[in-house]
Amino acid sequence: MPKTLTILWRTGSMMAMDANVAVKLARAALAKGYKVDMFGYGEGVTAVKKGQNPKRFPNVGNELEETIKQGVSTAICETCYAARGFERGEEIAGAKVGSLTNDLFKFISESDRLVTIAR
Amino acid sequence: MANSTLVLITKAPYGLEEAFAGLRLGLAMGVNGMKTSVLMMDDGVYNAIASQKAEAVKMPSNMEATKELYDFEVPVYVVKEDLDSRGIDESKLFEGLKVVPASKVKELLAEHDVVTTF
Repeated sequence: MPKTLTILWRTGSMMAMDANVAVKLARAALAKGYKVDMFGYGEGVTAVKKGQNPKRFPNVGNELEETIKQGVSTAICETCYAARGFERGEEIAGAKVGSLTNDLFKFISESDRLVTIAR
Repeated sequence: MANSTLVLITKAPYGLEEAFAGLRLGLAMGVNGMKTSVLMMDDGVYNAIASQKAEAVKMPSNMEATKELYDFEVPVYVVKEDLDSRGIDESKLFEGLKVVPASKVKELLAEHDVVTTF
């Protein structure tokens, strides 16, 4: 049975490379045979907004969407998402608008390791 | 599989959402019956001061968010040395907190399956 890694990221899509690092870590863990779950909390929820169009930086929304296609379960905190004016349907394909109590709890309780990426 | 979570609160309240977010994460774990502990350390010990007035900055109260943890038997520890170095007397803290020496941190880290830092 593969080991499970949960990545909790809490910084946004543009001000830092943290979300990109989270995606790279997820892919590296997948390549090592881990099951990987990701949860966006606080400012981290901005990374799942679809339609991001950075001119000079990596598009973390696209990267994350591709990572989800590779099998990484991804959820975000709905309260944090709504607080920032986002609505359901604005997220990239495969990202779940969820909750700490249900989704993050499930991820953590099934995890062998938890990595927090934040500032 | 993780059966326990330790939440480290290292940031002061209100200027950042970090401390409040950590307390809510602790609550979410505690509500589900997971063994959960919260440890206030470094500037996180400012969250333990009883006279904090969240309403002055129109923010939710970190003190109330901490006390909600008690309903789910989530212990909240505060590192004594970090209080002392900031000149905060234990008499200034609100009720229910457990002031512990820094040497306890190692024990808490060892007692929990996963750790997350705010």
